[in-house]
Amino acid sequence: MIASKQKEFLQKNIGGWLIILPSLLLFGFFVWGPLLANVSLSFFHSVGYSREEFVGFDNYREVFNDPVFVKAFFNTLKYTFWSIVIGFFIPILLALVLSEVVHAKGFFRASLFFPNILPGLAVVILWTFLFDPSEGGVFNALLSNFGIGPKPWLNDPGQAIPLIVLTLTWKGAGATTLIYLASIQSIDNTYYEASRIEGASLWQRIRHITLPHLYPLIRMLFILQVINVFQVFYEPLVMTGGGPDNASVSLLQLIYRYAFIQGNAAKAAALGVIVAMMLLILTFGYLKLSKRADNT
Amino acid sequence: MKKLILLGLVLTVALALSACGGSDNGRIQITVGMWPQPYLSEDHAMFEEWKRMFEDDYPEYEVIAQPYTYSVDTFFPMAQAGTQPTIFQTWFTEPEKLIRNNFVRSIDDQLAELGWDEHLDPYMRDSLTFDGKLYGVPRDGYGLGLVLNLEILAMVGIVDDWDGDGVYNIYDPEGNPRYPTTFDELGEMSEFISTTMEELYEQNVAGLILLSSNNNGGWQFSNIAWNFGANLQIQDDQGNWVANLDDPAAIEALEWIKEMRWEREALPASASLSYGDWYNYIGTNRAAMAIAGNDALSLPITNFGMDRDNLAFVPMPEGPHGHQYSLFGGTPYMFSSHASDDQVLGALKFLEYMGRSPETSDIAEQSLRVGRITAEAKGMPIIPEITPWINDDYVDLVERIDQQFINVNMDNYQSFYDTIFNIRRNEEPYYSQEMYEILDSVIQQVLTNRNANPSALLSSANNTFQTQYMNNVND
Amino acid sequence: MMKRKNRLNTRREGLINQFDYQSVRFKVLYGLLITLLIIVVGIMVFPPLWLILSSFKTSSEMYRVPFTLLPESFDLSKVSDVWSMLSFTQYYLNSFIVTLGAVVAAVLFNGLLAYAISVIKPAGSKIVFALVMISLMIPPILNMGTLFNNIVQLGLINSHIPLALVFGANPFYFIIFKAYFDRLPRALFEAAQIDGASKLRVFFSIVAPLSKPIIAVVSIFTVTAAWSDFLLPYLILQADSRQTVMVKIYQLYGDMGTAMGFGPDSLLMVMAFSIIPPILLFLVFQKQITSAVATSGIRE
Repeated sequence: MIASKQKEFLQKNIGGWLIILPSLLLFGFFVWGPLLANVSLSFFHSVGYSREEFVGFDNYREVFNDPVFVKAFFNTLKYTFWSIVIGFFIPILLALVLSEVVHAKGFFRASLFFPNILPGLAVVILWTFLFDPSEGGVFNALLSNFGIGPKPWLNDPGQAIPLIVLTLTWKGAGATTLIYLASIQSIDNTYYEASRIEGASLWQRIRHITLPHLYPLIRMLFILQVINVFQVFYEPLVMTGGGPDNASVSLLQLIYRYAFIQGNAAKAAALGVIVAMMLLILTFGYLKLSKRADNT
Repeated sequence: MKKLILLGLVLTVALALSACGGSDNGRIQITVGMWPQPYLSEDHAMFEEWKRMFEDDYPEYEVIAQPYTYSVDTFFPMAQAGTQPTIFQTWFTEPEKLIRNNFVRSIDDQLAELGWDEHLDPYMRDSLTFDGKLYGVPRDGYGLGLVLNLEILAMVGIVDDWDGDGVYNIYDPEGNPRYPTTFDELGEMSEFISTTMEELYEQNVAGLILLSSNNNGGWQFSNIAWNFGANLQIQDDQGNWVANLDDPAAIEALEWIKEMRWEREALPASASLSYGDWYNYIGTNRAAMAIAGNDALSLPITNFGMDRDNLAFVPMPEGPHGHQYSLFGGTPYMFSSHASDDQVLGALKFLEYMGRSPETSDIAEQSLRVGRITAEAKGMPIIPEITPWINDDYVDLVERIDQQFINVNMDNYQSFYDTIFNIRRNEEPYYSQEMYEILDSVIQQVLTNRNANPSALLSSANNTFQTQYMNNVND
Repeated sequence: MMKRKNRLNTRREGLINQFDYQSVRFKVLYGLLITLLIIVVGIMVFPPLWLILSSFKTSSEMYRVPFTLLPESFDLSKVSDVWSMLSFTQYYLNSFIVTLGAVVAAVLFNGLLAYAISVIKPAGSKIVFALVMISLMIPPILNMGTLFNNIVQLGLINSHIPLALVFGANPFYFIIFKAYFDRLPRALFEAAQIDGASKLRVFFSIVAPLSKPIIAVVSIFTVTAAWSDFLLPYLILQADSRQTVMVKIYQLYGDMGTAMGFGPDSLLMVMAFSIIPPILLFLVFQKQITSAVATSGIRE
């Protein structure tokens, strides 16, 4: 009996850790190791990736003094703003509509989701073609049928970010819609029946039954969307190169520039840590707020 | 589920096997980075032939193809991994950065051993010499000039086929140039072309295309600014190099671009035009004139099917105060910092088999011919190159071969070749790509904002460039 | 169960039910909703449709005004011309190898980790769990430089191995697995315990067969993610013969036109090559994919 307990203990702990070990190595190699190395590197003067001399916060200072960083930071706020304006409400609306439609529902659902499976890189190159600012660009050629002159699209510093967000939304909205849809369909029908009998209008039903039910999900997807926006990278890289005049450069794109174009590994590391801090603050802020909301 | 494990094992083995490869057979390996991509089948066959001949003559060497097209965002990862080819092709703006990061090595001894050092054009040699050491050999040189789309120029009546030989002439019957020779003329003519094309043909054609992204904007702008009389990097009283982007003449040059965009309306609407766009616009008749190097004139023809008789190439126009320069650069071959002396020697010798050395051996002559025959077969225009080697026998050889192959009307090119050696000017010495990147932003603002203030833009750009980069120069 | 509910749905329950639809106002509203959806479908389908159709155009036809959707001619030989000119088979093959390896890595390593933490729970595994959850908040891409350096240090430049294995350390997939394993009845494992089966065998003989649906979900996510993966492959696949479809596309986009005879129309053709495998996958597994997204709440 004792022997079998001992065996079970060994199996549980030694066996368990042996099973964890390979995955642990992978996480260490791909995730935690680089993260720690990044933090450490950010405090050094480096040649390539070798630490030469401890310099305290010099790399951070260098990042903060870079006018492009300031631009990228405010751009991230703009990306967030536009992704809320454009990308946040559309899926909720589409989910509401989709939940009511009975004809060809599967077809609609699949079609809305379809762009999501396309490779992101191909999608952004494709939309860059659509937004071609020359007269023969796809959208411009289409608009000229209505007598509208060529638009600069991504070349207009004020439009670059909203158009990139539009592209992101085109690709991602379908998936978010499906998540909302699943939640809407889990609403118990008797609630609707009851409110209908009480004579509630359609809008009242949405407001008092559907939206409250969706609210926790909306809150979660909202913060996920904000966190995702911080990771915008290859969209501006491909569509605008971060331009015009860095009007659409993103924080991640700047990390990439520091690390692989300017070859300044330590500066890239410092910016990586800065962005990580921003994300941690956002996430913990969200957790705190949602806790408070749940308590009330 | 055993199947899953099995599948995993099989895949791991397959991945591991596919990662290996390469052999060590005691020969000195040279990886050649300018190897053409496999889909360029004619060029590829040509290189394979050169490899075969080279390895026959030098059995101690093994040539390994590593097709690599230089770009700023791929070279750092490659060099950080230490996998840059023994010899590779880069841009004239890059050596300083590559040397600073210790990615390339000097080759003085090897060049001297081959006796090639004295044959190198001193001007090009200077541009690849840092701290007294030579870091590469140029493939060829280019100078910027003005590309003309003669089909459009003829549509608006600027040029015509006065001598009736089926090719438009850029000189009128009195011998006066019909192309712009000053920036004032360039502005007027561009505006005239844009308006006339709109009125006569209802076509939206840019009189001139200026580039604005991927550092091309800054690259072109520095030449324009020079011609207005600017110097973008200067030495101060203590001999330190400092940024001078807000030179009054540079501001004047930027004003000129702003006027071209908003008053003359002679530039394309886009403010993110990169290198590929100039020949796209020229080749598809969306622009009448462009600024480009003589080494790239085949692009609108091979890529957009333009008739090669409709192309002409003339010197950069003179600025308002009598300055005239042509930004001069080219494509250097450089050598990995990991390469041994023997590898460098082998790589240099391989250049002879490519016809890119000062040697005039049968093999070199044959390669020069094969190169031109291949170009001809691809429908490329054959225009003289600016060779980096100035030994008489080599220059004679190239000229003799060129005579047989040139397939354009040289009248429409000659003025460029007549002036280039008098007006050529090397790029600014420090952080040129970084400077171009900053200037790109300036250009983009001028092209997108009709109320942009050139003076303020350049002074803030100057400030950025000085603090971010030029401060590091004099450490 | 779901099926039944769907059938009931055709009786129109929910926000608007069948009684509402007896009024003209709601009939019109329903018509409007359908129209709206048809427009949205048009928006979703137009760009890829334009891509595939325009890849048959010539480059000057692409930029022609007025706009035409259809090319002048469908020259099917262009497909094979572009394919063979670029020797595209190699890049396809590379992408397939990476994708396949990624699926195996994603299922095996995230699955085993989730199994150990959810079921075996060896002492101290909570720390591992916490660490994984932290990496959920800090995306690894922020450390792209040091990650790249790690790969360089192991001499894995130009290797497909890290590109596959990186999917084995994915906190999202881990959570999907863990949530599923948490719901499996404990009695299953206890029975196996008595038989004296090893922990690893329990995973393969009991857990995995029961987890087919969730393995399918993770596999599908991994396939699309690995096929689309771009930055890491771009950084480490430096030799042409090793590159994946995405890396090649970005490279071709960069020097579009500088390479002889490779114009924007050919780029469109290559992009069409790249979107066809995921489209085929979607057509076959459409139901599974859409329901996986809805239930797991994870996009991509």
